[in-house]
Amino acid sequence: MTEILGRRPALSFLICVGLFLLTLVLPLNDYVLHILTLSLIFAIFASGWNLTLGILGLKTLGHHAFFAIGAYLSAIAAFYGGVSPWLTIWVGAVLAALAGLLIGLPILRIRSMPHVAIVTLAFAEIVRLIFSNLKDITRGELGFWGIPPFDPVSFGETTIRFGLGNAWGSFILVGLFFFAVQGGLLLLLRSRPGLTFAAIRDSEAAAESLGINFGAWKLAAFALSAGIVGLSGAIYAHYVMILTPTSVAGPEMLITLLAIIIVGGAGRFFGPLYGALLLTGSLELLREFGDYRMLLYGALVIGFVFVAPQGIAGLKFDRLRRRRGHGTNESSSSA
Amino acid sequence: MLRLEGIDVHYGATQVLWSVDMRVAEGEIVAIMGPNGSGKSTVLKAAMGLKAPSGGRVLLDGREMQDASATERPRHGMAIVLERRRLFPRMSVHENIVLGAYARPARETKGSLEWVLGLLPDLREHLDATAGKLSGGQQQMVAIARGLMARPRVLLMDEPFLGLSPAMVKTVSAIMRTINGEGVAILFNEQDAKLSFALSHRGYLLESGRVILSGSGQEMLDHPEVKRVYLGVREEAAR
Repeated sequence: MTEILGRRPALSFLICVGLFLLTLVLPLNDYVLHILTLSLIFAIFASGWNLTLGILGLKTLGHHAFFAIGAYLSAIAAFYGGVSPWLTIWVGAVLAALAGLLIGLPILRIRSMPHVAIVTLAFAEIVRLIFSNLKDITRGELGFWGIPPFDPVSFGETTIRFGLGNAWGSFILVGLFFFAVQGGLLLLLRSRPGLTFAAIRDSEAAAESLGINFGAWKLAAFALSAGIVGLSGAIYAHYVMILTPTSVAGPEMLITLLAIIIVGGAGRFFGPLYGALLLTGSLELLREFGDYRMLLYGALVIGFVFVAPQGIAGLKFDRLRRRRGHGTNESSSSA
Repeated sequence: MLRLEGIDVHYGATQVLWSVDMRVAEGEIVAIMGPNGSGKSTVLKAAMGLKAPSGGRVLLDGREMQDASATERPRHGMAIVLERRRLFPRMSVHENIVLGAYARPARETKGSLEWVLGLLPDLREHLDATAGKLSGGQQQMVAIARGLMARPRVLLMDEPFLGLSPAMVKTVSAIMRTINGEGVAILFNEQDAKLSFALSHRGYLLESGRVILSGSGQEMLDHPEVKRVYLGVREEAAR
Protein backbone atom coordinates (compact mmCIF):
# COMPACT_ATOMS: atom_id res chain seq x y z
CA MET A 1 0.00 0.00 0.00
CA THR A 2 3.06 2.24 0.15
CA GLU A 3 2.56 3.07 -3.51
CA ILE A 4 -0.94 4.36 -2.80
CA LEU A 5 -0.52 5.90 0.65
CA GLY A 6 3.15 6.91 0.64
CA ARG A 7 5.64 6.08 3.39
CA ARG A 8 4.07 7.79 6.40
CA PRO A 9 0.50 8.62 5.45
CA ALA A 10 -0.65 9.52 8.96
CA LEU A 11 2.25 11.97 9.35
CA SER A 12 1.59 13.48 5.90
CA PHE A 13 -2.07 13.83 6.83
CA LEU A 14 -1.17 15.63 10.06
CA ILE A 15 1.20 17.94 8.15
CA CYS A 16 -1.68 18.82 5.82
CA VAL A 17 -3.90 19.58 8.84
CA GLY A 18 -1.09 21.72 10.27
CA LEU A 19 -0.73 23.66 7.00
CA PHE A 20 -4.48 24.20 6.94
CA LEU A 21 -4.43 25.59 10.48
CA LEU A 22 -1.48 27.80 9.53
CA THR A 23 -3.48 29.15 6.59
CA LEU A 24 -6.17 30.27 9.02
CA VAL A 25 -3.81 32.66 10.81
CA LEU A 26 -2.22 34.04 7.63
CA PRO A 27 -3.57 37.39 6.37
CA LEU A 28 -5.08 35.95 3.18
CA ASN A 29 -7.59 38.00 1.22
CA ASP A 30 -11.05 36.73 0.26
CA TYR A 31 -10.01 35.95 -3.30
CA VAL A 32 -7.18 33.63 -2.21
CA LEU A 33 -9.48 31.98 0.33
CA HIS A 34 -12.08 31.47 -2.43
CA ILE A 35 -9.49 29.73 -4.63
CA LEU A 36 -8.38 27.54 -1.72
CA THR A 37 -12.01 26.69 -0.91
CA LEU A 38 -12.71 25.68 -4.50
CA SER A 39 -9.47 23.67 -4.52
CA LEU A 40 -10.57 21.73 -1.44
CA ILE A 41 -14.04 21.04 -2.89
CA PHE A 42 -12.41 19.71 -6.06
CA ALA A 43 -9.94 17.75 -3.92
CA ILE A 44 -12.91 16.00 -2.22
CA PHE A 45 -14.41 15.31 -5.66
CA ALA A 46 -11.09 14.00 -6.98
CA SER A 47 -10.48 11.86 -3.86
CA GLY A 48 -13.84 10.16 -4.34
CA TRP A 49 -13.27 9.57 -8.04
CA ASN A 50 -9.67 8.49 -7.40
CA LEU A 51 -11.02 5.60 -5.34
CA THR A 52 -12.43 3.96 -8.46
CA LEU A 53 -10.31 5.49 -11.23
CA GLY A 54 -6.90 5.24 -9.58
CA ILE A 55 -7.03 2.87 -6.64
CA LEU A 56 -9.45 0.29 -8.05
CA GLY A 57 -8.40 0.84 -11.67
CA LEU A 58 -11.91 1.29 -13.11
CA LYS A 59 -11.74 3.66 -16.06
CA THR A 60 -14.98 5.52 -15.41
CA LEU A 61 -15.50 8.94 -16.97
CA GLY A 62 -18.90 9.90 -15.61
CA HIS A 63 -18.30 10.92 -12.02
CA HIS A 64 -19.26 14.54 -12.76
CA ALA A 65 -22.80 13.13 -13.02
CA PHE A 66 -22.67 12.24 -9.31
CA PHE A 67 -21.32 15.72 -8.58
CA ALA A 68 -24.37 17.17 -10.39
CA ILE A 69 -26.77 14.77 -8.65
CA GLY A 70 -25.41 15.71 -5.22
CA ALA A 71 -25.40 19.42 -6.06
CA TYR A 72 -28.86 19.65 -7.62
CA LEU A 73 -30.72 17.32 -5.25
CA SER A 74 -29.30 19.02 -2.17
CA ALA A 75 -30.06 22.46 -3.65
CA ILE A 76 -33.62 21.44 -4.64
CA ALA A 77 -34.34 20.00 -1.17
CA ALA A 78 -33.02 23.14 0.52
CA PHE A 79 -34.59 25.64 -1.90
CA TYR A 80 -38.06 24.12 -2.35
CA GLY A 81 -38.32 22.07 0.83
CA GLY A 82 -36.86 24.67 3.14
CA VAL A 83 -34.66 22.00 4.69
CA SER A 84 -31.33 23.06 6.17
CA PRO A 85 -28.32 22.45 3.88
CA TRP A 86 -26.69 20.79 6.90
CA LEU A 87 -29.17 17.96 6.27
CA THR A 88 -29.69 18.19 2.52
CA ILE A 89 -26.02 17.64 1.69
CA TRP A 90 -26.33 14.13 3.16
CA VAL A 91 -29.47 13.55 1.10
CA GLY A 92 -27.48 14.58 -1.99
CA ALA A 93 -24.59 12.30 -1.03
CA VAL A 94 -26.81 9.27 -0.32
CA LEU A 95 -28.79 9.71 -3.55
CA ALA A 96 -25.56 10.04 -5.51
CA ALA A 97 -24.35 6.80 -3.87
CA LEU A 98 -27.62 5.08 -4.83
CA ALA A 99 -27.21 6.36 -8.39
CA GLY A 100 -23.69 4.89 -8.24
CA LEU A 101 -25.11 1.52 -7.22
CA LEU A 102 -27.66 1.62 -10.04
CA ILE A 103 -25.18 2.53 -12.76
CA GLY A 104 -22.51 0.33 -11.16
CA LEU A 105 -24.55 -2.86 -11.46
CA PRO A 106 -24.51 -2.94 -15.28
CA ILE A 107 -21.16 -1.28 -15.95
CA LEU A 108 -19.17 -3.50 -13.61
CA ARG A 109 -20.18 -6.44 -15.77
CA ILE A 110 -18.43 -4.83 -18.74
CA ARG A 111 -14.90 -6.20 -19.09
CA SER A 112 -13.68 -3.75 -21.73
CA MET A 113 -12.42 -0.55 -20.12
CA PRO A 114 -13.03 1.65 -23.20
CA HIS A 115 -16.67 0.55 -23.11
CA VAL A 116 -16.88 1.34 -19.39
CA ALA A 117 -15.52 4.81 -20.17
CA ILE A 118 -18.05 5.42 -22.95
CA VAL A 119 -21.05 4.14 -20.96
CA THR A 120 -20.21 6.27 -17.92
CA LEU A 121 -19.61 9.30 -20.14
CA ALA A 122 -23.04 8.76 -21.71
CA PHE A 123 -24.58 8.45 -18.24
CA ALA A 124 -23.15 11.86 -17.29
CA GLU A 125 -24.56 13.38 -20.45
CA ILE A 126 -28.00 11.93 -19.68
CA VAL A 127 -27.85 13.43 -16.18
CA ARG A 128 -26.85 16.81 -17.61
CA LEU A 129 -29.74 16.71 -20.08
CA ILE A 130 -32.23 15.73 -17.36
CA PHE A 131 -31.27 18.70 -15.16
CA SER A 132 -31.20 20.91 -18.24
CA ASN A 133 -34.73 19.91 -19.25
CA LEU A 134 -36.30 20.07 -15.79
CA LYS A 135 -36.68 23.80 -16.39
CA ASP A 136 -39.64 24.21 -14.02
CA ILE A 137 -37.44 23.08 -11.16
CA THR A 138 -33.85 23.86 -12.16
CA ARG A 139 -34.39 26.70 -14.67
CA GLY A 140 -32.12 24.77 -17.02
CA GLU A 141 -29.14 26.60 -18.42
CA LEU A 142 -30.54 29.92 -17.17
CA GLY A 143 -29.17 28.86 -13.82
CA PHE A 144 -30.63 27.68 -10.54
CA TRP A 145 -29.92 30.64 -8.31
CA GLY A 146 -30.93 31.52 -4.78
CA ILE A 147 -29.61 28.27 -3.34
CA PRO A 148 -29.32 28.87 0.41
CA PRO A 149 -25.86 28.72 1.99
CA PHE A 150 -25.17 26.63 5.10
CA ASP A 151 -26.94 28.05 8.15
CA PRO A 152 -24.65 30.23 10.27
CA VAL A 153 -23.06 28.71 13.34
CA SER A 154 -22.71 30.70 16.57
CA PHE A 155 -20.14 30.26 19.28
CA GLY A 156 -21.15 32.65 22.07
CA GLU A 157 -20.72 36.13 20.64
CA THR A 158 -19.13 34.92 17.42
CA THR A 159 -21.21 33.91 14.42
CA ILE A 160 -19.58 32.18 11.47
CA ARG A 161 -21.38 32.61 8.16
CA PHE A 162 -20.93 30.56 5.03
CA GLY A 163 -21.44 30.76 1.29
CA LEU A 164 -19.92 32.97 -1.38
CA GLY A 165 -19.10 36.33 0.20
CA ASN A 166 -18.14 34.70 3.51
CA ALA A 167 -14.77 33.43 2.45
CA TRP A 168 -13.21 32.73 5.84
CA GLY A 169 -16.16 30.72 7.21
CA SER A 170 -16.55 28.80 3.95
CA PHE A 171 -12.86 27.94 3.87
CA ILE A 172 -12.98 26.56 7.42
CA LEU A 173 -16.14 24.57 6.71
CA VAL A 174 -14.88 23.06 3.45
CA GLY A 175 -11.52 22.34 5.10
CA LEU A 176 -13.30 20.39 7.84
CA PHE A 177 -15.27 18.41 5.26
CA PHE A 178 -12.08 17.74 3.31
CA PHE A 179 -10.16 16.43 6.31
CA ALA A 180 -13.12 14.36 7.48
CA VAL A 181 -13.36 12.68 4.05
CA GLN A 182 -9.60 12.24 3.75
CA GLY A 183 -9.32 10.89 7.30
CA GLY A 184 -12.10 8.39 6.62
CA LEU A 185 -10.50 7.29 3.36
CA LEU A 186 -7.10 6.97 5.04
CA LEU A 187 -8.56 4.68 7.71
CA LEU A 188 -10.34 2.65 5.04
CA LEU A 189 -7.28 2.27 2.84
CA ARG A 190 -5.03 1.31 5.76
CA SER A 191 -7.36 -1.49 6.76
CA ARG A 192 -8.40 -4.71 5.03
CA PRO A 193 -10.67 -3.01 2.44
CA GLY A 194 -7.72 -0.94 1.22
CA LEU A 195 -5.63 -4.06 0.63
CA THR A 196 -8.61 -5.70 -1.03
CA PHE A 197 -9.07 -2.76 -3.45
CA ALA A 198 -5.40 -2.86 -4.40
CA ALA A 199 -5.54 -6.64 -4.86
CA ILE A 200 -8.53 -6.33 -7.20
CA ARG A 201 -6.72 -3.63 -9.20
CA ASP A 202 -3.61 -5.82 -9.58
CA SER A 203 -5.31 -9.11 -10.46
CA GLU A 204 -8.98 -10.00 -10.29
CA ALA A 205 -8.15 -13.67 -10.95
CA ALA A 206 -5.71 -13.84 -8.04
CA ALA A 207 -8.12 -11.93 -5.79
CA GLU A 208 -10.93 -14.36 -6.64
CA SER A 209 -8.69 -17.35 -5.90
CA LEU A 210 -8.18 -15.98 -2.36
CA GLY A 211 -11.91 -15.81 -1.74
CA ILE A 212 -12.39 -12.11 -2.58
CA ASN A 213 -15.78 -11.43 -4.16
CA PHE A 214 -14.40 -8.72 -6.41
CA GLY A 215 -17.76 -7.88 -8.01
CA ALA A 216 -19.32 -6.97 -4.65
CA TRP A 217 -16.22 -5.02 -3.57
CA LYS A 218 -16.13 -3.06 -6.81
CA LEU A 219 -19.79 -2.20 -6.50
CA ALA A 220 -19.38 -1.06 -2.90
CA ALA A 221 -16.36 1.05 -3.84
CA PHE A 222 -18.23 2.54 -6.78
CA ALA A 223 -21.17 3.53 -4.56
CA LEU A 224 -18.86 4.99 -1.90
CA SER A 225 -16.95 6.89 -4.56
CA ALA A 226 -20.21 8.26 -6.02
CA GLY A 227 -21.38 9.25 -2.53
CA ILE A 228 -18.19 11.20 -1.79
CA VAL A 229 -18.39 12.96 -5.15
CA GLY A 230 -22.08 13.69 -4.51
CA LEU A 231 -21.18 15.19 -1.13
CA SER A 232 -18.61 17.45 -2.80
CA GLY A 233 -21.28 18.53 -5.30
CA ALA A 234 -23.71 19.35 -2.50
CA ILE A 235 -21.07 21.39 -0.64
CA TYR A 236 -20.27 23.19 -3.90
CA ALA A 237 -23.95 24.05 -4.48
CA HIS A 238 -24.35 25.67 -1.05
CA TYR A 239 -21.04 27.48 -1.44
CA VAL A 240 -21.42 29.03 -4.92
CA MET A 241 -25.25 29.25 -4.51
CA ILE A 242 -25.92 29.01 -8.25
CA LEU A 243 -25.84 25.97 -10.55
CA THR A 244 -26.15 25.34 -14.25
CA PRO A 245 -26.25 21.81 -15.69
CA THR A 246 -23.23 22.51 -17.90
CA SER A 247 -21.13 23.97 -15.10
CA VAL A 248 -21.50 20.87 -12.91
CA ALA A 249 -22.06 18.04 -15.41
CA GLY A 250 -20.48 19.43 -18.57
CA PRO A 251 -17.29 18.35 -20.30
CA GLU A 252 -15.26 21.18 -18.75
CA MET A 253 -15.88 19.76 -15.28
CA LEU A 254 -14.88 16.28 -16.50
CA ILE A 255 -11.64 17.54 -18.04
CA THR A 256 -10.75 19.72 -15.05
CA LEU A 257 -11.21 16.90 -12.56
CA LEU A 258 -9.52 14.32 -14.76
CA ALA A 259 -6.53 16.68 -15.10
CA ILE A 260 -6.48 17.16 -11.31
CA ILE A 261 -6.29 13.40 -10.74
CA ILE A 262 -3.69 12.76 -13.44
CA VAL A 263 -1.46 15.70 -12.55
CA GLY A 264 -1.80 14.98 -8.82
CA GLY A 265 -1.18 11.26 -9.27
CA ALA A 266 -3.91 8.75 -10.12
CA GLY A 267 -4.10 6.01 -7.52
CA ARG A 268 -2.10 8.01 -4.95
CA PHE A 269 -3.87 9.02 -1.77
CA PHE A 270 -2.54 12.60 -1.66
CA GLY A 271 -2.63 13.05 -5.46
CA PRO A 272 -6.06 14.73 -5.61
CA LEU A 273 -5.03 17.38 -3.06
CA TYR A 274 -1.81 18.25 -4.90
CA GLY A 275 -3.58 18.29 -8.27
CA ALA A 276 -6.49 20.39 -7.02
CA LEU A 277 -4.26 22.99 -5.39
CA LEU A 278 -1.96 23.26 -8.40
CA LEU A 279 -4.54 23.27 -11.18
CA THR A 280 -7.29 25.32 -9.51
CA GLY A 281 -4.67 27.84 -8.45
CA SER A 282 -2.94 27.98 -11.82
CA LEU A 283 -6.25 28.43 -13.65
CA GLU A 284 -6.81 31.56 -11.61
CA LEU A 285 -3.22 32.81 -11.97
CA LEU A 286 -3.48 32.41 -15.73
CA ARG A 287 -6.48 34.76 -15.95
CA GLU A 288 -4.22 37.68 -16.82
CA PHE A 289 -3.35 35.92 -20.10
CA GLY A 290 -6.94 36.38 -21.33
CA ASP A 291 -7.72 34.30 -24.41
CA TYR A 292 -4.50 32.35 -24.06
CA ARG A 293 -5.46 31.15 -20.59
CA MET A 294 -6.85 27.74 -21.55
CA LEU A 295 -4.07 27.20 -24.08
CA LEU A 296 -1.47 27.72 -21.36
CA TYR A 297 -3.47 25.60 -18.95
CA GLY A 298 -3.51 22.76 -21.50
CA ALA A 299 0.24 23.12 -22.04
CA LEU A 300 0.77 22.95 -18.28
CA VAL A 301 -1.22 19.71 -18.00
CA ILE A 302 0.55 18.13 -20.99
CA GLY A 303 3.92 19.24 -19.62
CA PHE A 304 3.17 17.57 -16.30
CA VAL A 305 2.13 14.34 -17.97
CA PHE A 306 5.51 14.24 -19.74
CA VAL A 307 7.63 15.26 -16.76
CA ALA A 308 5.72 13.32 -14.11
CA PRO A 309 3.61 10.57 -15.70
CA GLN A 310 2.83 9.22 -12.22
CA GLY A 311 1.70 12.66 -11.07
CA ILE A 312 3.10 14.89 -8.36
CA ALA A 313 2.50 12.30 -5.64
CA GLY A 314 4.14 9.64 -7.79
CA LEU A 315 7.18 11.84 -8.30
CA LYS A 316 7.56 12.14 -4.57
CA PHE A 317 7.13 8.39 -4.08
CA ASP A 318 9.67 7.48 -6.77
CA ARG A 319 12.22 9.80 -5.21
CA LEU A 320 11.66 8.27 -1.78
CA ARG A 321 11.95 4.77 -3.20
CA ARG A 322 15.21 5.53 -4.97
CA ARG A 323 16.66 7.12 -1.86
CA ARG A 324 15.75 4.16 0.33
CA GLY A 325 16.71 1.52 -2.22
CA HIS A 326 13.22 0.02 -1.90
CA GLY A 327 12.80 -3.56 -3.13
CA THR A 328 15.31 -6.38 -3.20
CA ASN A 329 16.99 -8.53 -5.80
CA GLU A 330 15.89 -6.28 -8.61
CA SER A 331 18.61 -7.62 -10.81
CA SER A 332 17.57 -11.25 -10.68
CA SER A 333 14.75 -12.29 -12.91
CA SER A 334 14.57 -15.91 -12.02
CA ALA A 335 16.00 -18.07 -9.33
CA MET B 1 -10.89 -35.97 0.92
CA LEU B 2 -11.12 -34.26 -2.50
CA ARG B 3 -12.87 -36.15 -5.28
CA LEU B 4 -13.53 -35.15 -8.86
CA GLU B 5 -16.17 -37.35 -10.48
CA GLY B 6 -16.87 -37.34 -14.19
CA ILE B 7 -15.77 -33.74 -14.70
CA ASP B 8 -16.53 -32.29 -18.13
CA VAL B 9 -15.41 -28.77 -18.98
CA HIS B 10 -16.19 -26.71 -22.08
CA TYR B 11 -14.64 -23.46 -23.26
CA GLY B 12 -17.47 -22.20 -25.47
CA ALA B 13 -18.33 -25.03 -27.83
CA THR B 14 -15.01 -26.79 -27.31
CA GLN B 15 -14.84 -29.59 -24.76
CA VAL B 16 -11.47 -29.66 -22.99
CA LEU B 17 -12.09 -32.21 -20.19
CA TRP B 18 -13.86 -35.50 -20.71
CA SER B 19 -15.29 -37.28 -17.67
CA VAL B 20 -12.22 -36.77 -15.49
CA ASP B 21 -12.13 -38.76 -12.23
CA MET B 22 -9.49 -37.95 -9.62
CA ARG B 23 -9.11 -38.18 -5.88
CA VAL B 24 -6.76 -36.78 -3.28
CA ALA B 25 -6.69 -38.54 0.08
CA GLU B 26 -5.70 -36.92 3.34
CA GLY B 27 -1.95 -36.39 3.60
CA GLU B 28 -1.27 -37.19 -0.05
CA ILE B 29 0.72 -35.43 -2.73
CA VAL B 30 -0.94 -36.11 -6.06
CA ALA B 31 0.50 -35.09 -9.42
CA ILE B 32 -1.32 -34.42 -12.68
CA MET B 33 1.12 -34.88 -15.52
CA GLY B 34 0.53 -34.29 -19.18
CA PRO B 35 1.69 -32.37 -22.22
CA ASN B 36 0.80 -28.75 -23.03
CA GLY B 37 -2.89 -28.26 -23.66
CA SER B 38 -3.90 -31.55 -22.07
CA GLY B 39 -6.19 -29.78 -19.58
CA LYS B 40 -4.07 -29.97 -16.42
CA SER B 41 -4.72 -26.38 -15.34
CA THR B 42 -8.40 -26.71 -16.19
CA VAL B 43 -8.71 -29.64 -13.78
CA LEU B 44 -7.37 -27.47 -10.96
CA LYS B 45 -9.58 -24.54 -11.95
CA ALA B 46 -12.63 -26.79 -12.03
CA ALA B 47 -11.74 -28.20 -8.61
CA MET B 48 -11.37 -24.69 -7.18
CA GLY B 49 -14.54 -23.37 -8.83
CA LEU B 50 -12.63 -20.90 -11.02
CA LYS B 51 -14.04 -22.68 -14.08
CA ALA B 52 -17.53 -24.14 -13.83
CA PRO B 53 -17.69 -27.75 -15.02
CA SER B 54 -20.38 -28.56 -17.55
CA GLY B 55 -20.75 -32.02 -16.06
CA GLY B 56 -19.68 -34.11 -13.10
CA ARG B 57 -19.16 -33.08 -9.49
CA VAL B 58 -16.50 -31.94 -7.06
CA LEU B 59 -16.69 -33.33 -3.52
CA LEU B 60 -14.72 -32.26 -0.46
CA ASP B 61 -15.03 -34.70 2.44
CA GLY B 62 -18.06 -36.16 0.71
CA ARG B 63 -19.78 -32.80 0.47
CA GLU B 64 -20.75 -31.52 -2.97
CA MET B 65 -19.07 -28.20 -3.80
CA GLN B 66 -21.18 -27.18 -6.78
CA ASP B 67 -23.03 -24.55 -4.78
CA ALA B 68 -19.83 -23.12 -3.30
CA SER B 69 -18.40 -20.41 -5.55
CA ALA B 70 -14.67 -19.91 -6.03
CA THR B 71 -14.75 -17.18 -3.39
CA GLU B 72 -16.36 -19.56 -0.87
CA ARG B 73 -14.10 -22.58 -1.35
CA PRO B 74 -11.17 -21.22 0.68
CA ARG B 75 -13.57 -21.21 3.67
CA HIS B 76 -14.09 -24.93 3.10
CA GLY B 77 -10.37 -25.69 3.33
CA MET B 78 -9.22 -25.34 -0.27
CA ALA B 79 -6.59 -22.97 -1.64
CA ILE B 80 -4.84 -22.59 -4.97
CA VAL B 81 -1.43 -21.30 -6.01
CA LEU B 82 -2.06 -20.02 -9.51
CA GLU B 83 0.14 -20.55 -12.54
CA ARG B 84 2.90 -17.92 -12.87
CA ARG B 85 2.36 -17.01 -9.22
CA ARG B 86 -0.08 -14.17 -9.92
CA LEU B 87 1.20 -12.07 -7.04
CA PHE B 88 0.05 -8.52 -6.49
CA PRO B 89 3.26 -7.02 -7.86
CA ARG B 90 2.97 -3.50 -6.47
CA MET B 91 2.29 -4.66 -2.92
CA SER B 92 4.82 -5.73 -0.35
CA VAL B 93 5.53 -9.40 0.35
CA HIS B 94 3.87 -9.01 3.74
CA GLU B 95 0.70 -7.59 2.18
CA ASN B 96 0.61 -10.36 -0.41
CA ILE B 97 0.91 -13.05 2.23
CA VAL B 98 -1.62 -11.49 4.60
CA LEU B 99 -4.19 -11.28 1.81
CA GLY B 100 -4.04 -15.06 1.65
CA ALA B 101 -5.89 -15.11 4.98
CA TYR B 102 -8.79 -13.15 3.49
CA ALA B 103 -11.23 -16.03 3.91
CA ARG B 104 -10.21 -16.67 7.51
CA PRO B 105 -11.25 -14.71 10.62
CA ALA B 106 -8.97 -11.68 11.11
CA ARG B 107 -7.95 -12.86 14.59
CA GLU B 108 -6.22 -15.89 13.05
CA THR B 109 -3.99 -13.87 10.71
CA LYS B 110 -1.10 -13.34 13.12
CA GLY B 111 -0.92 -17.00 14.12
CA SER B 112 -1.17 -18.15 10.50
CA LEU B 113 1.59 -15.75 9.47
CA GLU B 114 3.91 -17.14 12.12
CA TRP B 115 3.10 -20.71 11.04
CA VAL B 116 3.77 -19.86 7.37
CA LEU B 117 7.01 -18.01 8.14
CA GLY B 118 8.06 -20.97 10.22
CA LEU B 119 7.67 -23.17 7.14
CA LEU B 120 9.27 -20.61 4.79
CA PRO B 121 11.77 -18.77 7.01
CA ASP B 122 13.64 -17.21 4.07
CA LEU B 123 10.68 -14.93 3.49
CA ARG B 124 11.18 -13.10 6.78
CA GLU B 125 13.93 -10.89 5.39
CA HIS B 126 11.85 -9.93 2.35
CA LEU B 127 8.59 -9.01 4.07
CA ASP B 128 8.93 -5.29 3.27
CA ALA B 129 10.14 -5.80 -0.30
CA THR B 130 7.89 -5.12 -3.28
CA ALA B 131 6.64 -8.52 -4.47
CA GLY B 132 7.09 -7.73 -8.17
CA LYS B 133 10.79 -7.06 -7.63
CA LEU B 134 11.61 -10.50 -6.25
CA SER B 135 13.22 -13.30 -8.26
CA GLY B 136 11.01 -16.01 -9.75
CA GLY B 137 11.87 -18.48 -7.01
CA GLN B 138 11.21 -16.00 -4.23
CA GLN B 139 7.92 -15.08 -5.87
CA GLN B 140 6.95 -18.74 -5.94
CA MET B 141 7.62 -18.97 -2.21
CA VAL B 142 5.46 -15.90 -1.61
CA ALA B 143 2.68 -17.47 -3.70
CA ILE B 144 2.91 -20.69 -1.67
CA ALA B 145 2.93 -18.70 1.58
CA ARG B 146 -0.13 -16.79 0.41
CA GLY B 147 -1.92 -20.04 -0.38
CA LEU B 148 -1.04 -21.50 3.01
CA MET B 149 -2.44 -18.48 4.86
CA ALA B 150 -5.92 -19.83 4.10
CA ARG B 151 -4.93 -22.81 6.30
CA PRO B 152 -6.04 -25.24 3.59
CA ARG B 153 -6.47 -28.97 4.08
CA VAL B 154 -5.88 -29.38 0.36
CA LEU B 155 -3.59 -27.08 -1.60
CA LEU B 156 -3.86 -26.95 -5.40
CA MET B 157 -0.70 -25.85 -7.21
CA ASP B 158 -0.76 -24.92 -10.87
CA GLU B 159 2.68 -25.53 -12.46
CA PRO B 160 4.66 -24.69 -9.30
CA PHE B 161 8.03 -25.25 -11.02
CA LEU B 162 7.35 -23.16 -14.11
CA GLY B 163 10.30 -20.92 -14.97
CA LEU B 164 12.40 -21.95 -11.97
CA SER B 165 16.08 -22.86 -12.02
CA PRO B 166 17.05 -26.51 -11.15
CA ALA B 167 18.25 -25.41 -7.73
CA MET B 168 14.98 -23.60 -7.05
CA VAL B 169 13.00 -26.63 -8.26
CA LYS B 170 14.71 -28.67 -5.54
CA THR B 171 13.92 -26.01 -2.96
CA VAL B 172 10.24 -25.79 -3.94
CA SER B 173 9.99 -29.63 -3.98
CA ALA B 174 11.40 -29.69 -0.45
CA ILE B 175 8.92 -27.01 0.61
CA MET B 176 6.06 -29.06 -0.83
CA ARG B 177 7.17 -32.08 1.18
CA THR B 178 7.41 -29.94 4.32
CA ILE B 179 3.92 -28.56 3.77
CA ASN B 180 2.63 -32.07 3.19
CA GLY B 181 4.33 -33.12 6.42
CA GLU B 182 2.15 -30.54 8.17
CA GLY B 183 -0.92 -32.48 7.07
CA VAL B 184 -1.77 -30.45 3.96
CA ALA B 185 -2.75 -32.58 0.97
CA ILE B 186 -1.38 -31.29 -2.35
CA LEU B 187 -2.71 -31.65 -5.88
CA PHE B 188 -0.33 -30.17 -8.41
CA ASN B 189 0.28 -30.31 -12.14
CA GLU B 190 3.56 -30.45 -13.99
CA GLN B 191 4.89 -31.36 -17.43
CA ASP B 192 8.04 -33.08 -16.22
CA ALA B 193 7.14 -36.75 -15.61
CA LYS B 194 10.19 -37.60 -13.53
CA LEU B 195 9.76 -34.58 -11.28
CA SER B 196 5.99 -35.09 -10.94
CA PHE B 197 5.94 -38.75 -10.05
CA ALA B 198 9.11 -38.75 -7.94
CA LEU B 199 7.56 -36.11 -5.71
CA SER B 200 4.04 -37.52 -5.50
CA HIS B 201 2.41 -40.40 -3.70
CA ARG B 202 0.09 -40.93 -6.63
CA GLY B 203 -0.23 -39.52 -10.09
CA TYR B 204 -2.49 -39.13 -13.11
CA LEU B 205 -1.51 -38.89 -16.73
CA LEU B 206 -3.77 -36.59 -18.68
CA GLU B 207 -3.88 -36.45 -22.47
CA SER B 208 -6.30 -34.44 -24.58
CA GLY B 209 -8.55 -33.86 -21.58
CA ARG B 210 -8.81 -37.53 -20.56
CA VAL B 211 -7.16 -39.45 -17.74
CA ILE B 212 -5.35 -42.25 -19.52
CA LEU B 213 -3.28 -43.62 -16.65
CA SER B 214 -3.16 -43.46 -12.88
CA GLY B 215 -1.24 -45.14 -10.08
CA SER B 216 1.31 -44.61 -7.37
CA GLY B 217 4.25 -42.35 -8.15
CA GLN B 218 6.57 -45.32 -8.59
CA GLU B 219 4.04 -47.24 -10.73
CA MET B 220 3.75 -44.24 -12.98
CA LEU B 221 7.52 -43.91 -13.31
CA ASP B 222 7.83 -47.61 -14.11
CA HIS B 223 5.01 -47.66 -16.67
CA PRO B 224 6.37 -48.42 -20.15
CA GLU B 225 4.19 -45.77 -21.82
CA VAL B 226 5.37 -43.08 -19.42
CA LYS B 227 8.96 -44.24 -19.91
CA ARG B 228 8.70 -44.27 -23.69
CA VAL B 229 6.77 -41.03 -24.26
CA TYR B 230 7.66 -38.84 -21.31
CA LEU B 231 11.03 -40.07 -20.07
CA GLY B 232 12.53 -40.84 -23.48
CA VAL B 233 13.59 -44.37 -22.48
CA ARG B 234 13.57 -47.00 -25.26
CA GLU B 235 12.00 -50.31 -24.29
CA GLU B 236 15.18 -52.28 -25.08
CA ALA B 237 17.22 -49.90 -22.98
CA ALA B 238 14.66 -50.18 -20.18
CA ARG B 239 15.04 -53.96 -20.17
